[in-house]
Amino acid sequence: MRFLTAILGLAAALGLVAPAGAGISDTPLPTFSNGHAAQVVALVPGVIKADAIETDVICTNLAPAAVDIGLEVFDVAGVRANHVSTGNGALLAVAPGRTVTIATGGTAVLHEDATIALEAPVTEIANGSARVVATDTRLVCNAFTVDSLHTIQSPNKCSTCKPPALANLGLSYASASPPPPPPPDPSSLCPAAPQSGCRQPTGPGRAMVLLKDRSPNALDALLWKWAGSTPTAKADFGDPFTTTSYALCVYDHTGGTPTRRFAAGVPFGGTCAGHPCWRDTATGYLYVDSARTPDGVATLSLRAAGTAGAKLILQGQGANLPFSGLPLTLPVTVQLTTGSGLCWGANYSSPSANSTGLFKAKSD
Amino acid sequence: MMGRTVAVGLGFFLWTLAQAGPAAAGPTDTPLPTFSDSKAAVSVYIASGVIKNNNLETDFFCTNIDTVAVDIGLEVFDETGALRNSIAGGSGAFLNVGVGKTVTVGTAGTAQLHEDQAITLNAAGNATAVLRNGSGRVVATSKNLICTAVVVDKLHTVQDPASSTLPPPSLAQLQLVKLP
Repeated sequence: MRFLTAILGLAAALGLVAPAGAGISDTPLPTFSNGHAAQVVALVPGVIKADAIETDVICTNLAPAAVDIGLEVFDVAGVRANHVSTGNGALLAVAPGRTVTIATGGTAVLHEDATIALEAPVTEIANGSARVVATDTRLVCNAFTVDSLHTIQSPNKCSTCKPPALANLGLSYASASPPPPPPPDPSSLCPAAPQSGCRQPTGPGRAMVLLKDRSPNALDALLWKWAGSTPTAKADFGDPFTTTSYALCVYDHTGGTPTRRFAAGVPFGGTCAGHPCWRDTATGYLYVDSARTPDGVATLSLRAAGTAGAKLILQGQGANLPFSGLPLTLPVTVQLTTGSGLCWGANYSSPSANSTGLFKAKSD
Repeated sequence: MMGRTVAVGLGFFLWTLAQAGPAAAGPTDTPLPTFSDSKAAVSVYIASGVIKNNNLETDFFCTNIDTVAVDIGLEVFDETGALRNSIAGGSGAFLNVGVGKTVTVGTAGTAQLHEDQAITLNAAGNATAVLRNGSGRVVATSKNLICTAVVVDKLHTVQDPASSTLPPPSLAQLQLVKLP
């Protein structure tokens, strides 16, 4: 027994026994400094921080909410060289769609948002590994080893300046689940001709539309209001947080037949300034997007009113509005559709303005 | 009555703008585009690490393995998640790519590689002509594409070492994720 203990002690002294909880798969997962638990996103072999070579890991947040992202690096023996729990190698609250880079050190050619300071006992990683951890696994990443010193100079100006060495490390994702599919282009919800059976306004003049087609296009504007008497429940609006997109469809009679002239989409889900673009209200939903993408819509208010019908307001502004020219050929039909058969519409035969820069009308 | 309606509407508009922020962002949150021939796009690949900075550019190569011609496009996003080109406007888009054909779209022309098209960045997001920390999405009218991507030094070329001391360009593959 004493002999076995001596052998194990000697092996440990020689580094032949791995430390408890070692390496990218065995080391317990960390908690970020804000208390959020981390999950493994991807494993990276071949991490190097030695001889002027650094490792950069670039990740994009595909999740619908902000996530904390960290990079843990391990040396040749599997010893973790940094703690994201203290902020070393961590970036908190990375917004949806954003891309960040965490690296073992700064480089001359790439951009780094955070660099890791190796923690004792690790002083160098000649042959290491890493794992990307985050509060959500819906990330897409790439990892490079890169020469930290060289930059790319024009060979015409410096024939002896060598560009940096650069190689991809080929990371492995821990989760086989694919990233969420992007929503469809909501303007495709508008069919080529007006839909039949749309809910109609309470009476003449209870819906209105205003289109301003100006130069420059940044001055373009759209306002549509609709008030109807068909009983409408909040559930009729679907679920704009996860599945239901909307589109405002404008048709005229170019060529004597109903023709789609304009389609402005309002996608489901999405994030605006770190917050959901859609908000739940007592009687419906409110969409707010100051960037007015993809089609120029800034706000859409959906208000159910039980047996009193519904009140809908859509507003847009700017160059993203896909106007295709004014005036319109009467009569004009404007419909708000979800693409699932439910729509709210009205016809406009007597506009108060219908010129090259302005269409303004109340419903028939 | 109409004047009051417009005034109320504008008031509501200004109120909501005051509470708003940037829109849907990034390669999965941004709605898919429609090509200029009115064909709807599907998402085929996404990638992080699209770079256009410090004389590094990113090239995507795609081959049509469908049985019919397809439209192919590359959308690039900057570090804020802002979409920086318009497939609908033709930037980064190829229409009717024949069966078996391969096209290359880059964030700029490079000295070493061939690009069929270079993307012109719009003024969204960081509003600079730089993708220091970008991402990308390959879109098409069919899922039947195979693509690869590289980050490449745009200035250097490979010269015969017997007659030139000029170094070769930096070049590294970019790992793509194919969407189901």
